[in-house]
Amino acid sequence: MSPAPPTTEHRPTAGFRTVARAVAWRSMHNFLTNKALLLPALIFPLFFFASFAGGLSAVGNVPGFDFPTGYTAFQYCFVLLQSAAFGGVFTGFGIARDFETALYASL
Amino acid sequence: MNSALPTQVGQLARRSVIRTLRQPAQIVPSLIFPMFLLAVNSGGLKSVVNLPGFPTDSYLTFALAITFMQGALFSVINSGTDLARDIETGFLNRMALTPLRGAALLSGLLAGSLMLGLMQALAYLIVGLAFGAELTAGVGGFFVIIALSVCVTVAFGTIGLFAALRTGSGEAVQGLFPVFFVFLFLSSMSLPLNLIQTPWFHTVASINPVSYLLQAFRSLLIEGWEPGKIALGFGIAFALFALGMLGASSALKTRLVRT
Repeated sequence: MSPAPPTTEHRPTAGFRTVARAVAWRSMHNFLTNKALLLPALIFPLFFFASFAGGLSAVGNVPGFDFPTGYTAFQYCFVLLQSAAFGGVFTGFGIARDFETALYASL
Repeated sequence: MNSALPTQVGQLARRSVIRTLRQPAQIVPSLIFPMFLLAVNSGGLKSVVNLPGFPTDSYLTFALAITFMQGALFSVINSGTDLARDIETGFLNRMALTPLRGAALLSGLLAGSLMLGLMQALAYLIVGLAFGAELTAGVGGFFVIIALSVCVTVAFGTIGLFAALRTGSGEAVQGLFPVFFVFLFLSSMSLPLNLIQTPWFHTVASINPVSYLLQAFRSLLIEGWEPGKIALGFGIAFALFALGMLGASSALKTRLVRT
């Protein structure tokens, strides 16, 4: 007769910090080693920065444009925001893939 | 099946048009997305018209040209995705068993792009004019813009056909969308060439054919009749069409393996 499977109450549980640290490390590792996640998140904001800062540089001469460090720095703020958004989106893709491969179900 | 080329083209063109009309997912984004960007750009950059040398006092008029190019970029994806689906579902293999000519297949498939280009051009132009854009070339200019937009859309459609025939995958064709947006962004999309101050960007935009397609649309909207700029726009569209058809025909030979 096989032993009864352990119930949830008797299953050993790891501490909050241990689990959070392990999942965080895994997420960072996946993001940094998967080119399909890393490259678009890096390249797209840089491309937009190059095209907007380059193509619209004359905007810095528009009367009333008073950003003290110039149009390139002005555009850089937008690119920082955009890169944060891309980072979030691509991290979401990684999490979705974990759900698809049933990682969280097995956890 | 009648082997006469016009009959073959007609049958495939009818199929392509009906298929396009039955897919709102192809029509709606290609109409809404460019107009949404037009609203955002013309609102956010309207003070750019105060720059010395800016050709018009309405940024909406200047930016209206971009919508035609964005619509054409959608044509790459739509025509390519449709053909890739035909490859994936085996339709193309079944066609290989018939006396269908390759030229008929490619021409017929472009009918959907042509119709979509017409719908897009009319929608963009009517909405733009309704919101205050100027059309200096008048009624004649209206029809020339429509014709140019359709030509550009069909020309870009051939690139979609080429990509589909080379890859045979709808996902691969859709993956090209950001690549083509690079050409749009690295052009005189936001400012005229003479006002682009960054040297490397000015050089890239000057050799980018998209800049001259935009210039052709803008010449009709802003300056009136500039035969040289209009002819250059049509010339680039025809050159793209010829290159795309050449590439697609070559790729079709290996894809359409007759048994």
